[in-house]
Amino acid sequence: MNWEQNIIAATTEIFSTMLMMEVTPGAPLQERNANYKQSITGMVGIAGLFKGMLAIHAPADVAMAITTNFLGLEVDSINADVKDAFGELANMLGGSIKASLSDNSRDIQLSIPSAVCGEEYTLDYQPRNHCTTMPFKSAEGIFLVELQLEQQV
Amino acid sequence: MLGFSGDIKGMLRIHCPDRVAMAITGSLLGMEVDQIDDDVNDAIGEIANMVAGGLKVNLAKHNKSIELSIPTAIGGKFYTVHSLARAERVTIPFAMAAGQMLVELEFVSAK
Repeated sequence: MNWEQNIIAATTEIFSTMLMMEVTPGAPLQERNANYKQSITGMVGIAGLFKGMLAIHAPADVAMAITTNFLGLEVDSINADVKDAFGELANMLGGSIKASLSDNSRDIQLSIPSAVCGEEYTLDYQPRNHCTTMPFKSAEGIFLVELQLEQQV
Repeated sequence: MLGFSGDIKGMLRIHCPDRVAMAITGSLLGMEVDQIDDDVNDAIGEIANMVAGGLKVNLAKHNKSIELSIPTAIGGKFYTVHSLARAERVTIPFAMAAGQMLVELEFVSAK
Protein backbone atom coordinates (compact mmCIF):
# COMPACT_ATOMS: atom_id res chain seq x y z
CA MET A 1 0.00 0.00 0.00
CA ASN A 2 1.35 3.41 -0.96
CA TRP A 3 0.61 5.46 2.12
CA GLU A 4 2.21 8.60 0.72
CA GLN A 5 -0.20 8.66 -2.21
CA ASN A 6 -3.12 7.96 0.11
CA ILE A 7 -2.19 10.87 2.35
CA ILE A 8 -1.65 13.18 -0.62
CA ALA A 9 -4.99 12.26 -2.20
CA ALA A 10 -6.91 12.69 1.06
CA THR A 11 -5.23 15.94 2.06
CA THR A 12 -5.30 17.76 -1.27
CA GLU A 13 -8.92 16.79 -1.83
CA ILE A 14 -10.15 17.87 1.60
CA PHE A 15 -8.18 21.11 1.52
CA SER A 16 -9.37 22.03 -1.96
CA THR A 17 -13.02 21.11 -1.50
CA MET A 18 -13.65 21.97 2.15
CA LEU A 19 -11.18 24.79 2.75
CA MET A 20 -10.67 26.18 -0.74
CA MET A 21 -6.94 25.96 -0.12
CA GLU A 22 -4.40 24.72 -2.62
CA VAL A 23 -1.76 22.66 -0.85
CA THR A 24 1.36 21.14 -2.38
CA PRO A 25 2.87 17.94 -0.99
CA GLY A 26 6.58 17.87 -0.27
CA ALA A 27 8.91 14.90 0.11
CA PRO A 28 7.96 12.49 2.91
CA LEU A 29 9.92 13.05 6.11
CA GLN A 30 12.72 10.54 6.54
CA GLU A 31 12.46 10.66 10.28
CA ARG A 32 9.33 11.38 12.22
CA ASN A 33 9.08 14.64 14.04
CA ALA A 34 8.30 14.12 17.73
CA ASN A 35 8.75 17.64 19.12
CA TYR A 36 6.35 20.46 18.49
CA LYS A 37 6.57 24.09 19.56
CA GLN A 38 3.68 26.53 19.57
CA SER A 39 1.73 24.10 17.48
CA ILE A 40 -1.51 22.22 17.39
CA THR A 41 -2.08 18.58 16.56
CA GLY A 42 -5.44 17.12 15.58
CA MET A 43 -5.58 13.36 15.83
CA VAL A 44 -7.93 10.42 15.45
CA GLY A 45 -7.43 6.74 16.23
CA ILE A 46 -8.01 4.06 13.60
CA ALA A 47 -9.16 0.58 14.63
CA GLY A 48 -10.26 -2.67 13.01
CA LEU A 49 -8.70 -4.25 9.94
CA PHE A 50 -6.02 -1.57 10.14
CA LYS A 51 -4.94 -0.15 13.42
CA GLY A 52 -3.21 3.16 13.90
CA MET A 53 -3.52 6.87 14.12
CA LEU A 54 -3.84 9.86 11.86
CA ALA A 55 -2.53 13.25 12.93
CA ILE A 56 -2.32 16.69 11.40
CA HIS A 57 0.26 19.06 12.91
CA ALA A 58 0.54 22.79 12.25
CA PRO A 59 2.32 25.76 13.80
CA ALA A 60 -0.08 28.17 15.52
CA ASP A 61 -0.14 30.80 12.73
CA VAL A 62 -0.76 28.20 10.02
CA ALA A 63 -3.43 26.56 12.20
CA MET A 64 -5.27 29.86 12.58
CA ALA A 65 -5.19 30.50 8.83
CA ILE A 66 -6.49 26.99 8.16
CA THR A 67 -9.30 27.49 10.67
CA THR A 68 -10.26 30.81 9.10
CA ASN A 69 -10.57 29.09 5.72
CA PHE A 70 -12.39 26.13 7.17
CA LEU A 71 -14.93 27.87 9.38
CA GLY A 72 -15.07 31.21 7.59
CA LEU A 73 -14.31 33.19 10.70
CA GLU A 74 -11.35 35.22 11.86
CA VAL A 75 -9.33 33.70 14.66
CA ASP A 76 -6.44 35.39 16.41
CA SER A 77 -5.54 32.80 19.01
CA ILE A 78 -5.56 29.02 19.41
CA ASN A 79 -9.08 28.96 20.78
CA ALA A 80 -11.77 26.28 20.91
CA ASP A 81 -12.65 26.90 17.24
CA VAL A 82 -9.11 26.09 16.12
CA LYS A 83 -9.05 22.96 18.28
CA ASP A 84 -12.43 21.85 16.96
CA ALA A 85 -11.30 22.55 13.40
CA PHE A 86 -8.17 20.43 13.86
CA GLY A 87 -10.10 17.58 15.46
CA GLU A 88 -12.55 17.72 12.57
CA LEU A 89 -9.76 17.86 9.97
CA ALA A 90 -8.17 14.76 11.51
CA ASN A 91 -11.58 13.11 11.42
CA MET A 92 -12.11 13.96 7.74
CA LEU A 93 -8.60 12.89 6.74
CA GLY A 94 -9.05 9.66 8.70
CA GLY A 95 -12.40 9.10 6.99
CA SER A 96 -10.88 9.57 3.58
CA ILE A 97 -7.94 7.24 4.30
CA LYS A 98 -10.36 4.71 5.72
CA ALA A 99 -12.46 4.80 2.54
CA SER A 100 -9.34 4.19 0.45
CA LEU A 101 -8.42 1.12 2.51
CA SER A 102 -11.64 -0.78 2.43
CA ASP A 103 -14.89 -0.86 0.47
CA ASN A 104 -16.70 -2.05 3.53
CA SER A 105 -16.94 0.83 5.96
CA ARG A 106 -17.44 -1.53 8.90
CA ASP A 107 -13.97 -3.05 8.49
CA ILE A 108 -12.15 0.03 9.70
CA GLN A 109 -13.43 2.50 12.23
CA LEU A 110 -12.33 5.82 13.62
CA SER A 111 -12.26 6.82 17.25
CA ILE A 112 -13.35 10.31 18.22
CA PRO A 113 -10.84 13.04 17.40
CA SER A 114 -8.88 15.12 19.87
CA ALA A 115 -6.59 18.07 19.60
CA VAL A 116 -3.40 18.71 21.53
CA CYS A 117 -1.76 22.09 21.60
CA GLY A 118 0.77 24.00 23.61
CA GLU A 119 4.03 25.88 23.88
CA GLU A 120 6.05 22.74 23.69
CA TYR A 121 5.02 19.10 23.59
CA THR A 122 6.15 15.77 22.28
CA LEU A 123 4.17 13.06 20.60
CA ASP A 124 5.32 9.48 20.58
CA TYR A 125 3.76 6.14 19.89
CA GLN A 126 4.47 2.51 19.46
CA PRO A 127 5.38 0.79 17.29
CA ARG A 128 7.51 3.43 15.64
CA ASN A 129 7.57 1.78 12.26
CA HIS A 130 4.76 1.86 9.67
CA CYS A 131 4.72 5.60 9.95
CA THR A 132 4.52 8.09 7.08
CA THR A 133 4.71 11.85 7.50
CA MET A 134 4.00 14.13 4.58
CA PRO A 135 4.66 17.86 4.65
CA PHE A 136 2.23 20.11 2.77
CA LYS A 137 2.90 23.63 1.71
CA SER A 138 0.09 26.18 1.70
CA ALA A 139 0.14 29.94 1.12
CA GLU A 140 0.15 30.37 4.90
CA GLY A 141 2.94 27.94 5.67
CA ILE A 142 3.76 24.28 6.09
CA PHE A 143 1.80 21.65 7.97
CA LEU A 144 2.32 17.90 8.41
CA VAL A 145 -0.02 14.97 7.96
CA GLU A 146 1.13 11.84 9.72
CA LEU A 147 -0.25 8.34 9.34
CA GLN A 148 0.72 5.37 11.43
CA LEU A 149 -0.97 2.18 10.31
CA GLU A 150 -0.57 -1.49 10.80
CA GLN A 151 -2.60 -4.12 9.04
CA GLN A 152 -4.06 -6.64 11.46
CA VAL A 153 -3.55 -10.29 10.57
CA MET B 1 -3.98 8.19 25.01
CA LEU B 2 -5.63 5.65 22.83
CA GLY B 3 -8.64 5.75 20.52
CA PHE B 4 -11.22 3.04 20.23
CA SER B 5 -14.20 2.43 18.04
CA GLY B 6 -17.06 0.01 17.50
CA ASP B 7 -20.40 -0.02 19.36
CA ILE B 8 -18.96 2.79 21.44
CA LYS B 9 -16.29 5.11 20.14
CA GLY B 10 -13.99 7.30 22.12
CA MET B 11 -10.63 7.95 23.67
CA LEU B 12 -9.00 6.71 26.79
CA ARG B 13 -6.34 8.91 28.34
CA ILE B 14 -3.97 8.54 31.24
CA HIS B 15 -2.67 11.83 32.58
CA CYS B 16 0.10 12.12 35.11
CA PRO B 17 2.93 14.46 36.11
CA ASP B 18 6.49 13.52 35.06
CA ARG B 19 7.33 12.22 38.53
CA VAL B 20 4.37 9.85 38.56
CA ALA B 21 5.05 8.76 34.98
CA MET B 22 8.63 7.88 35.92
CA ALA B 23 7.49 5.97 39.02
CA ILE B 24 4.95 3.99 36.98
CA THR B 25 7.57 3.22 34.33
CA GLY B 26 10.05 2.13 36.99
CA SER B 27 7.52 -0.29 38.45
CA LEU B 28 6.32 -1.59 35.10
CA LEU B 29 9.76 -2.16 33.61
CA GLY B 30 11.58 -2.94 36.85
CA MET B 31 14.26 -0.33 36.35
CA GLU B 32 15.33 3.06 37.57
CA VAL B 33 13.93 5.92 35.53
CA ASP B 34 15.09 9.48 36.07
CA GLN B 35 13.97 11.23 32.90
CA ILE B 36 11.11 11.27 30.42
CA ASP B 37 12.50 9.12 27.65
CA ASP B 38 11.23 6.57 25.15
CA ASP B 39 10.78 4.03 27.93
CA VAL B 40 8.39 6.33 29.75
CA ASN B 41 6.45 7.12 26.59
CA ASP B 42 6.19 3.41 25.84
CA ALA B 43 5.20 2.53 29.38
CA ILE B 44 2.44 5.11 29.70
CA GLY B 45 1.20 4.22 26.21
CA GLU B 46 1.19 0.59 27.27
CA ILE B 47 -0.76 1.41 30.45
CA ALA B 48 -3.37 3.16 28.30
CA ASN B 49 -3.42 0.09 26.05
CA MET B 50 -3.92 -2.26 28.99
CA VAL B 51 -6.63 -0.15 30.61
CA ALA B 52 -8.44 0.07 27.27
CA GLY B 53 -7.98 -3.69 26.86
CA GLY B 54 -9.66 -4.17 30.25
CA LEU B 55 -12.46 -1.89 29.13
CA LYS B 56 -12.86 -3.94 25.97
CA VAL B 57 -13.23 -7.16 27.95
CA ASN B 58 -15.75 -5.58 30.30
CA LEU B 59 -17.80 -4.09 27.50
CA ALA B 60 -17.86 -7.48 25.76
CA LYS B 61 -19.66 -8.85 28.84
CA HIS B 62 -22.37 -6.31 28.10
CA ASN B 63 -22.46 -7.31 24.43
CA LYS B 64 -20.70 -4.16 23.31
CA SER B 65 -17.77 -4.67 21.01
CA ILE B 66 -14.91 -2.19 20.57
CA GLU B 67 -11.65 -2.22 18.64
CA LEU B 68 -8.57 -0.38 19.87
CA SER B 69 -6.27 1.92 17.91
CA ILE B 70 -2.63 2.37 18.91
CA PRO B 71 -1.47 4.29 21.98
CA THR B 72 0.14 7.71 21.60
CA ALA B 73 2.10 9.36 24.38
CA ILE B 74 2.13 13.12 24.69
CA GLY B 75 4.63 14.87 26.88
CA GLY B 76 5.76 18.41 27.45
CA LYS B 77 6.03 21.33 29.79
CA PHE B 78 2.79 22.97 28.85
CA TYR B 79 0.05 21.62 26.66
CA THR B 80 -3.69 21.23 26.59
CA VAL B 81 -5.80 18.38 25.31
CA HIS B 82 -9.06 19.31 23.73
CA SER B 83 -11.80 16.92 22.89
CA LEU B 84 -15.17 16.87 21.26
CA ALA B 85 -17.66 18.90 23.26
CA ARG B 86 -20.53 16.51 22.61
CA ALA B 87 -18.84 13.42 24.03
CA GLU B 88 -19.54 12.08 27.50
CA ARG B 89 -16.61 12.07 29.85
CA VAL B 90 -15.63 10.30 33.04
CA THR B 91 -12.37 11.17 34.80
CA ILE B 92 -11.20 9.19 37.81
CA PRO B 93 -8.22 10.28 39.87
CA PHE B 94 -6.00 7.61 41.39
CA ALA B 95 -3.61 8.29 44.23
CA MET B 96 -0.28 6.52 44.53
CA ALA B 97 2.90 7.04 46.51
CA ALA B 98 4.50 9.22 43.84
CA GLY B 99 1.43 11.38 43.31
CA GLN B 100 -1.76 11.36 41.36
CA MET B 101 -2.81 9.90 38.04
CA LEU B 102 -6.02 10.64 36.14
CA VAL B 103 -7.77 8.13 33.96
CA GLU B 104 -10.10 9.83 31.55
CA LEU B 105 -12.64 8.13 29.36
CA GLU B 106 -14.43 10.06 26.71
CA PHE B 107 -17.01 8.41 24.51
CA VAL B 108 -20.04 8.57 22.30
CA SER B 109 -22.35 5.68 21.47
CA ALA B 110 -22.01 4.90 17.79
CA LYS B 111 -25.18 4.75 15.73
